[in-house]
Amino acid sequence: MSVGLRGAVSTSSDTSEIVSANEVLNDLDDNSLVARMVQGEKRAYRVIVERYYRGIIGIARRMGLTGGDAEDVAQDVFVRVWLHRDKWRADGGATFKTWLYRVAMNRVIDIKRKPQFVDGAELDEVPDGAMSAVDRLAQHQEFKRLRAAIKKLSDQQQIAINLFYDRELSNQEAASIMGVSVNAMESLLKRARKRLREELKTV
Amino acid sequence: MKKRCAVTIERFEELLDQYGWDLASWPEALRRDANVLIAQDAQAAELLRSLRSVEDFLADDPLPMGKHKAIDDIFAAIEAEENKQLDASVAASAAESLSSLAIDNRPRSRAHLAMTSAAPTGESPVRKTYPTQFAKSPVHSALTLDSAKYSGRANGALHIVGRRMFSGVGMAVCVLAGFVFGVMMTVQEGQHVTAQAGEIELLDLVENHLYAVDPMTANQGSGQSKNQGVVPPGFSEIRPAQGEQPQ
Repeated sequence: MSVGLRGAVSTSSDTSEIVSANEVLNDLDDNSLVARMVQGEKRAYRVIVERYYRGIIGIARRMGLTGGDAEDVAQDVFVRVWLHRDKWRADGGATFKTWLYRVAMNRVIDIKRKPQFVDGAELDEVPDGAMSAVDRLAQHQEFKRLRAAIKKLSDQQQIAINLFYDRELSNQEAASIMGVSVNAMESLLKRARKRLREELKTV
Repeated sequence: MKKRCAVTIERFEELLDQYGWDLASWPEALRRDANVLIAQDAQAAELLRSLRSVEDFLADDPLPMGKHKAIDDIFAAIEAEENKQLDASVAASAAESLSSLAIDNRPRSRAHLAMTSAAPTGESPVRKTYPTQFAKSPVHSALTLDSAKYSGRANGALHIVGRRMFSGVGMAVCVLAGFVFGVMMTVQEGQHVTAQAGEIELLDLVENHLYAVDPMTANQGSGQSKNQGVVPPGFSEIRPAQGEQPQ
């Protein structure tokens, strides 16, 4: 009985230690977490995954992947990053965030280039219980129209537009993910907006 | 009085492309001019409204928060990949040890079985063993072939000695032994020659001494010597001392 009581007490204290350790990890910046990840600390990597999972899924969906495919891409990216964590170089010129997004972008492009790829932009619906049925339909129609116009852009222009309107990314980070300067990114965006504006008139 | 527009609709479109569809990010002077145009031109206002809605769609993030199940799935996939890599590395090391077994088939310990076995090592009284695919049959196919050629255990010491004889050490030992044997033979031969020379000299001395004695015994009268009358040159002057009797 006393053993069980001691066991319960120790389990409770272990849980509180884990919770406090996770809180400490959540307060760390990316560089500290990545340094721990490189050493093989999975709890630190879990914090990184929780921090960027939504961003990676969002990029994959904006690039035209369905929910399932986007989740597959995110899982594939995070598994690869963990398995090749020893290849990460902090002084390589990019932050971990931009490197992670670049890996995800390349993975999305690979999937979209496969012959069996089906563009799922029109299959996805945006659930919003607060909207009326008419509003939801109108929004869905507008969403389809926008997706159809974006599909007519070049690959580079699509990536630029999707990265630029990602709330998680600054202009500098978006340029870094694409591997171009900020000026080149702005020039690319200007052409993409012009083309998109023209396409929206015709769609 | 109506304020005069500084930008045209064409210039307004160019500025939208350059600075984006959110006027808040525009330079102050241009934003002021654009607001004047929007207030006066319905086409410019409609253009801005439609583009802002597009921007809202692009920036919208429909993904709900709290996808912990998906994150759990990611770490489950990581575990699976790591186990797969671990299995591959164990298989590689086992194959390496089996290839060394194929060369050296001397009886060895069962350490390789312990390495691939997941047997618990706790305090349980009954230790179970879970032979893996590597522990199940430690005999490699290459080992079987080599075992057919070599019967090391059957031949025992003879096999080992035979291998040693053809080794470098064996060759060096043979050369050294030959050298020592040669030196010994040479010394023995030299001793033999020296002894022979001494013996010859002694025989000559004895023989010459006998030749020198013969004429004296002949002169004393009684017996005839076969060497009688023959005095070798140089020995005629040798004479025994007074009172000395030849034997």
